[in-house]
Amino acid sequence: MNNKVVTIVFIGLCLLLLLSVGGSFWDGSIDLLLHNGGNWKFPKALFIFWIGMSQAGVLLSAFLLVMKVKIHRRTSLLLELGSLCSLAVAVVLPLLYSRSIQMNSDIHSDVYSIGIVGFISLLFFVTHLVAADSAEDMTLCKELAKIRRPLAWIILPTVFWVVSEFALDFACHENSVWQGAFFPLYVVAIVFYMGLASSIALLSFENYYNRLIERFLLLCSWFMSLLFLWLLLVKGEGSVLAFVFACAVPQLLFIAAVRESLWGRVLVVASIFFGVMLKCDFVVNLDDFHFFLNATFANVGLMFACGTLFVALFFGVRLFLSRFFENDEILIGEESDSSDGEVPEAVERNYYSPFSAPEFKVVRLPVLCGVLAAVAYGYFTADWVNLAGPFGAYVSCLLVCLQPFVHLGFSRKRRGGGK
Amino acid sequence: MSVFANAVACLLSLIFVAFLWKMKGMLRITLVMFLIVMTSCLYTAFAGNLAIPTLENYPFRMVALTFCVFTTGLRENRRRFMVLAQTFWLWVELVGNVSLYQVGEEAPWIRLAAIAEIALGCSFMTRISKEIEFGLIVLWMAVWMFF
Repeated sequence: MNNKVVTIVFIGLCLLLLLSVGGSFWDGSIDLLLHNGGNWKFPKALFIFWIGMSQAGVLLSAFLLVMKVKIHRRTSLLLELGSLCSLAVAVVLPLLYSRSIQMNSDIHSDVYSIGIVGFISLLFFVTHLVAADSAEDMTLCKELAKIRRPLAWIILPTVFWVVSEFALDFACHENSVWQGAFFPLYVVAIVFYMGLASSIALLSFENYYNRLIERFLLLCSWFMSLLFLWLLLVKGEGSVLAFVFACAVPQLLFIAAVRESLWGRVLVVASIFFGVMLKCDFVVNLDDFHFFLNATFANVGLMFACGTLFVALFFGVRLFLSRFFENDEILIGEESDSSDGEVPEAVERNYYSPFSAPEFKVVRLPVLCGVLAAVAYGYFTADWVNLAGPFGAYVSCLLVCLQPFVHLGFSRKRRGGGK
Repeated sequence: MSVFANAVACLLSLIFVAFLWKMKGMLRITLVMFLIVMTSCLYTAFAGNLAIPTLENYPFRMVALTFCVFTTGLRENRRRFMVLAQTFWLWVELVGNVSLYQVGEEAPWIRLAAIAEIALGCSFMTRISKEIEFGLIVLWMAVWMFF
């Protein structure tokens, strides 16, 4: 990890936070920060932003694993840890500003769904960590490598489901302008884009630079521009400023000086996050210039407080777990051309008959149990849309994670019996 | 959208696939995908009335159809990507339909059921012959045109 850069970023954020809190005394907006008044809408916009961030990392990590894209295991670990820390920041916001971010009965199911995704992200992350730590115990490493991709197969549709549901409920209960067939797609696309941006920033702090992810970020910025223009055409509303920060500024990555410089990349990513944050503000308030016209130091202070909390949480956990992140023995295996951190199989088969692939054999029983649990949940609660899917995924993931330990237990028992 | 415009959209998707099949490398394919999304959006904007809520996700449905037909030309992991592409189509349709249902619009549930059934059927297929590939493309076009 590049300690110097992390320290500069952390101290910079702390100074900006102090400045903005000082400024809030000057412009009289300190009351908004200290008192849970309820007429301050900015915490809601920030909450939506951090909820998006909490899904972004795990979505990208699972997507890359499902698509068999060769990436470093460190990238996956960083993305998953980023997701968990973002979720922690998102949880803090409604606790502090419960009147601005009202958790009424309409969105209870969303909160539970996001909690379930948080839990299965934690399982996914722990699976990676334990695999990295068990370099000496190759049996456990092999068993955990077997469940990594099957877990991603369960997590990917769950995140899609939860983000879409969150977008649908937001449109239904908060702002009916966003009701329509396009908004959930748009939200999922933005979450994916945030995942790519965060991976570039987090890798930069590790002194790594992934050209493939950077190219995808550029291509995605074009897709996002298209989606933005489509939203403008369909709804007649769209945030031009968000477009400039999130889609136009990233084109600077075409300039080699920006691309090759660590600070250049970090600034571009910061611009993307600011653009997305403006977009969240626009989605809540339906006014392109609301953020700037109603700019107070309290808004800026809360924004930097969230950023500082994220950086402190993320790098605190990262330092605490550095032996897992910097496990050289595992890294050599990860960088092989054959796989992405996978224990290489002796013979790689190209064709499997239906329902006979090794990954399917791992997930078939847990997914069956998950489906049954979801059906039972839907039957007893009459809630087939909101929580049935995430609940099924939760049961499936738990059972998948139990499998390696059951296999190990049986194999040890067999060996013990043999002796 | 009129039946003729719908048919032209289907034809456009097949033309997109012909371009995609010629591309090699993930980045080039993504670049062409960008052009495909752009053309689909432009086509929907010019051929349809954007005030109709069902057209909001029309370009993305076109892209999903393109994905599905594209997977028939893959050499490796064809069944897996075929099912994934259809799941993407299913997701676009499902989310769109649920959203439309919430605003009181009539949602084409039969189309959804048809896509789900074809995706389920695909996951049972063993080695996919040229004839089955053709049959699948015809099925997808039928779902697009008639449901």
